[in-house]
Amino acid sequence: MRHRTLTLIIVLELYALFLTVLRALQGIRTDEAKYLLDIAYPHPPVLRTFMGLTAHLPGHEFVWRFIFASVLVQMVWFFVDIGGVLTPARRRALLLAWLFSTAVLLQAGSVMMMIPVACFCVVLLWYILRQESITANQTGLIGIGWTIALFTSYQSVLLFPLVVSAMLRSRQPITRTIILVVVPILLLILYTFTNPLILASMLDIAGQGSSAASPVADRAISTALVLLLGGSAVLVLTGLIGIVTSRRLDLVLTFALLLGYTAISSQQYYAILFTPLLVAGTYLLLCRRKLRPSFLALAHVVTAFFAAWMFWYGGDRPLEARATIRALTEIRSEGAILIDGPFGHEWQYEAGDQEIIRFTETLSLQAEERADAFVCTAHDCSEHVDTDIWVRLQSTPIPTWVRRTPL
Amino acid sequence: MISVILPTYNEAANIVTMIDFLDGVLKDQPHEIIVVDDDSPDGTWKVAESARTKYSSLRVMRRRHTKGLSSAVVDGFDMAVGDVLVVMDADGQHDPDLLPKVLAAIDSGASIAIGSRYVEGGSVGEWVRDRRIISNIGTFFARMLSRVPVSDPLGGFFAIRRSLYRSVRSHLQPVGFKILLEILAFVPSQTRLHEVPLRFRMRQHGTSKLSLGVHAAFVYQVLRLLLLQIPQFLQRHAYGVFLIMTIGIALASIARITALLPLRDSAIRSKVQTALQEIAQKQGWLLSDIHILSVDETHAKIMHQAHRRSRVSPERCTVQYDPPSLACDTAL
Repeated sequence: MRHRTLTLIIVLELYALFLTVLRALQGIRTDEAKYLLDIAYPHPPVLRTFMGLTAHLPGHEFVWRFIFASVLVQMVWFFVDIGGVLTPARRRALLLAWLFSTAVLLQAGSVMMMIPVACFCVVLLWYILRQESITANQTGLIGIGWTIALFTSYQSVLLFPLVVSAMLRSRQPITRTIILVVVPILLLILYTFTNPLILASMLDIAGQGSSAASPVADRAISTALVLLLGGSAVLVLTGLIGIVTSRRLDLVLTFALLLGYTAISSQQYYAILFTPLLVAGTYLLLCRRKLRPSFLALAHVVTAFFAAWMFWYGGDRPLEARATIRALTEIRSEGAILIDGPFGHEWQYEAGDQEIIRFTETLSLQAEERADAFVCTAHDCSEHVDTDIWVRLQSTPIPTWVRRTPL
Repeated sequence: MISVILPTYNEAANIVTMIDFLDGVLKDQPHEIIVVDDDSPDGTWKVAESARTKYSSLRVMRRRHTKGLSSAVVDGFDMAVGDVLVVMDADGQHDPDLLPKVLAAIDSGASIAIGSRYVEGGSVGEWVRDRRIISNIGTFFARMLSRVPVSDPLGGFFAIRRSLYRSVRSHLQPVGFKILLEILAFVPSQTRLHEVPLRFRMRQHGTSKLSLGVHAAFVYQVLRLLLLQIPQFLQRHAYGVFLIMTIGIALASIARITALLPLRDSAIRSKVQTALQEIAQKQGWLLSDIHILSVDETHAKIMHQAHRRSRVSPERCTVQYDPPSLACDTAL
């Protein structure tokens, strides 16, 4: 390996480490905890299984964050290869477009399934933009990747046009293409029916979607925001122009699918799904138009950092779970934790070895007696807390009680 | 020029006879015979050294700090100056009379020629049944690792063009006994290989070096090569892997769905839902910790596993619908 390449890999790893630390400092979010603990739905099992198997290891959360950040950042090498036909200055602009897009700045280091989907998208774009034709064996590899991607995250299905486009670049029989593209989707549908709770949770999530019942104008604004976070104001512009003027049906369809999906289920973490397409669009534009690459790169980086600063993740108070559990650990409260009110999976993750029991009106005495801490995430828990038994801790961000007489 | 490598360990009783045979067979062509000895306690290297006065083509390497058949072969190959490199056992199990046929195969264009026990005319001789079985299993796995079709990738008698050896040298990790397998795992797939029938003979003197350690080294070698070849294997057999993967997923999913088929009935579905919610509320369980295994008209089997960072054994439980009740086995 050349010395320069090795140095670049190390620099990129340091960058990934930096983004990981930034992310880790914000605490673990409910979705991240869900994957890290291999909780069964809504996403299919491939990646989360590995995360669950390693959950008991020290540094589990940080290591997975770093793996995700590393892979995402190192995807830049695919763009190095894609941009091989460009002048060095243009290629540099392309690489900066990826590395300093708002989504990479904000999402590298998060353990979200959109990251592997975005990475698979980059690989597909590499096949499409770089390879003139691909062999039958390579289509088999894409088929395997497609299956793994689908069984990692349902959102992978949005890459369908890119998968078809990549497959069509080989001269294999059409029946084989159909098998490689369609069978994994059918299998995913089959898998979905193996656990009725998957479907139930999907319907539940769809019902809770922030934009599901909001006016069209609100949806358009939130979709535009996600798109903006996918790159930067500049990258969105160059990417969109590049995609549209290239008249590439595969890119246009994938972009439209992503946009449509984001309009229905607007989540900021979908932003990273747009990034590969926006960078690819910018590449197509750089191939044809006389843009000043240094100006483009500078404008992109400035606007991306500005957007990242503006939308730096405040979160759904994930550090509260960590601080509360830490306070309980400090007073050696090691029994089960009873939680009254809504709570996310981060409580399960942060609790480590401690059991989490959901408080309900009909909770059995046996279950209640296993707990030696009572956490109130509801608006008011005073009705459920017997102060003869429980004493309030003062140092926790969430109202917390422990038994007067420890178990 | 031909370089014949004889890796030795405690072959003092065999070595001179072997050198004499080889020198006779190769007398009409430029050659060198290199004895690579792992500092044998029986003084094999000393016996070979003393034979140098009689055989001018003989060279001896005494390895004081390194041991192992494969590394001895590689050291011998590295030391050799011939265009064709040959390796064979020094204990008489490989018939030196076969050498001209092996060299003829190289002359006729092959890049590797192997003395093979498993082609027509070859045999493993008087091996006991257990050794035959172990050899067959090992050969089966080794064939999968070879980049060129071969019937006996574990043979110890072969010739290779120096140029081909140089091209794979950087990949070789000479551990254990099977250097040919190591080479075959890295040669280009279009390499021309020829196999010459070999009848394995009983050793003339001394004892066999086969041991549990040798088998363990072979297993390690196979696993290591297998790991290294996964990317290439995937590239070559991607469609097959895809089909196996999808069929596996389909079968597993169908088996699960079959157990849940009663849920098609909305009345049963409603009963399951009510019972599960009631039980989860009573137990303080999170619904995400419940996995439905099978459903019947009167009860459902579920698995409850609390998701925590520490490993928690799942409980297998039966949920009765009417009235909702729960009975759990001990943790699985």
